[in-house]
Amino acid sequence: MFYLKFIRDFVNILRAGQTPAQVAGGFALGTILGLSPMLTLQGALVWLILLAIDVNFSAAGVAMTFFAFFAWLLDPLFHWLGYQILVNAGPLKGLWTFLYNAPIAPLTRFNNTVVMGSFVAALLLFYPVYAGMKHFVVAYRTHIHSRLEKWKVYQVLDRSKMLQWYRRIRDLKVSP
Amino acid sequence: MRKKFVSFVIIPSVVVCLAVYLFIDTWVRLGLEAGGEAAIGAKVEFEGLHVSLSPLGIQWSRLQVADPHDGWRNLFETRDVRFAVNSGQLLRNKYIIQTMEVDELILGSKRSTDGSVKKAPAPAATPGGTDTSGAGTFTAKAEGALGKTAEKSPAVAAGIGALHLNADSLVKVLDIHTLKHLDSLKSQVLASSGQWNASLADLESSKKKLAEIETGIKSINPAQLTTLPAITGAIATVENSTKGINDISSAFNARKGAIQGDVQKLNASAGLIDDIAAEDFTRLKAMAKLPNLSTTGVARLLVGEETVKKATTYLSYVDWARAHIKNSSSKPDYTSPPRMTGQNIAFPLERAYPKFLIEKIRISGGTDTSGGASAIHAKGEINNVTNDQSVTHLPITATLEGVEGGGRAFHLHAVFDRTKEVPYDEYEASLGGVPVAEFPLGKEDFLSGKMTDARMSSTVKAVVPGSAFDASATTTLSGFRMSYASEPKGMLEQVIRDVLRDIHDFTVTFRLWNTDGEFKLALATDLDAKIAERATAVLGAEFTKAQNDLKTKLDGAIAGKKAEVMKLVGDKTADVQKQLGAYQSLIGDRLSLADAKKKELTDRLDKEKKGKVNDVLKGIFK
Repeated sequence: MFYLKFIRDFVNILRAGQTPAQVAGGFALGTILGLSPMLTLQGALVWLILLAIDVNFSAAGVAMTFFAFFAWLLDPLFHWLGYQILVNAGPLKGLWTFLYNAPIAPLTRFNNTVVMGSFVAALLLFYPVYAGMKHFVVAYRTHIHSRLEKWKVYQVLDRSKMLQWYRRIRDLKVSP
Repeated sequence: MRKKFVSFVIIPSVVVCLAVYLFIDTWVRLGLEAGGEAAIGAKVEFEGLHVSLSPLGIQWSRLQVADPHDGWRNLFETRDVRFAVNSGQLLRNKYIIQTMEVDELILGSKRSTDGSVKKAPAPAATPGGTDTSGAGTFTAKAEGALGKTAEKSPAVAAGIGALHLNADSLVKVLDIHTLKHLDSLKSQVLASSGQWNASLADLESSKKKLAEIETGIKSINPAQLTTLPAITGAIATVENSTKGINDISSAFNARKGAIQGDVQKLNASAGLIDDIAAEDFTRLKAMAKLPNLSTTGVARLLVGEETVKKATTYLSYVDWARAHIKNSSSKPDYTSPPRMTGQNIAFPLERAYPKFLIEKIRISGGTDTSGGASAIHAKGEINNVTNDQSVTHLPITATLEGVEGGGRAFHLHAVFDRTKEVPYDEYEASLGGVPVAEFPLGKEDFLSGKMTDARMSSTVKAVVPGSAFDASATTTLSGFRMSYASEPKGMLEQVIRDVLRDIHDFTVTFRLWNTDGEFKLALATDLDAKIAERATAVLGAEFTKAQNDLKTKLDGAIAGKKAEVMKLVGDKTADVQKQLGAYQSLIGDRLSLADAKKKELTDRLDKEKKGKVNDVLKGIFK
């Protein structure tokens, strides 16, 4: 029921509730957590930010789940990217050596190829995901949802069992 | 800021921190005890353990580690122990301790509760355990050599037998090799003598020729020779004579060389008579069941099995050190890691630390006697305890010394060097005044018994470079009493028991090495000499008389023939040497004669030539 609550809240939030920026912010932070391996210092910091600032949790949860799957698929790419950054990016070697000798930086596991590759990818994707999600929420609330209602396909589907199921999920009362 | 962040994150965090602060001592204690018990296989108990957060460190007031083989005794225990952990390195998941202060280290103290745990420990995890069957271990490699040594009992006669023996009968029965040798020598002398006579007979014909040459030379009178051609002809005759003498001399020298070779062989053979007679005497004593107590081996029989048993135990300690002190870890190769694991890239370190390091453990001695009188209080230093010496570039070193109330004292210095590719271990230890309640002796069939209430002092030095091994140990046992499982089996055992009764100390020297691949064991002791010395006293005159009687009888049996053969050898060799000498003189005389005659003729020739020149000059100046 936990996941159903997340999905219901996310669907609801697309229509109304928190601001598009809050939804997009949660989704973007969830993207970072989903793409990066767990148990790193930067992961804990992102969690702290997620808990501290007023962004949408459900969006973060959905993004985390969605992008964790992508991270698994794209792992070889992240490994390659991390290797290039850590080994072949000559000018950065001094920085990595400094961090490697610093007391706390190694807790970020920055010298791991997958951690580095996925984190850089997540950072690069952060703003596009944030902006894209924000536009999508605004568009969904202003145009997409009303347009969808006018489509014959939508009207057919509206009476379909699938949409009834969607509504059931949307209006689901989850007991605390 | 999320409104509920304070109540949902900060407050729980504070509560968790508070709980950690309040209960961390218990959690760390339980964790260390559980980990220690799993590793040692016996109870590990901390008292007064406290974790301090600033500086980050741990201290406790007492630690007891039970002996996995004896639950009522501690392997070791400590009193106050304090150390600080490098917090910066802890954040990097490295456990670096600069100095660990240990107030007391007590070995072998008694426990008030049973320290054994139900689950049996993995035998190979503890030194001194019984599982030393690994094919590559020193224990396994040495087992064959040690086993062979234990089985190799000296060839000790079953018993002395009656000392009142019939020496005549024994000598008659004995196959006396000396007599055979004398017969053989006599035959050789006679055969050689025949050959010498033939050679000398050949030389007789040369004597005639020498006489003819002598006559020829003497017949030349230089004063009667007045012409130059006559003088020159006489010189040529003398030179031909010299050549003839030299030919005879060469032939003589060849024969003389052969004869001298024969003489040398005969003398060498004669020189062996005493050695062969000594061997005959040894065999005669064996027939008479007289033991040769000066031979080594009795002590090995007595203490060999127990020494080998102890050596196997100590080898298992070496194996344990080899297994648990690892060589340096290598840099990880580039790999294609499983998904979501990645590859860790190493960068140069300004100051490299291994995963675990205690730079110094300082152990101060103590006088606490609560662990019992038999407990040993140790003090010393252990340095550079680490899991990776390739990072520290320093070997683990340990220097410990300790004493106990009963007079026991030990000193230990050990080096475990894994900084290079080939591991290197070195041990030096001395242990003094150790009471040995029971020290098994002998074998089931000979001198089966035990030594009780002994005091043992040992020094051991072992070097273990790579797969090689070289250890030597000296152990002195003193102040002991002997007791035996059964009545003595035979006279020899009785004698040795009598001897051991009056011996109160002895030293065993032991060396075990495999520097040329195969394990070898050498075991020596001063007990053999002591047994021999004391046996003579115990057996006294009877033993000596029996031995002398045998010797006299044997000498008597040999003496007649020996004198005859020695006379024959002497006579024959002297005779031939005399004849050879005479012939040598004869040849020398003839050569001198020829030389003198030649000189005389040469002078005459010079004089004649000079006269002729004067005559010619007188004719010219007339």
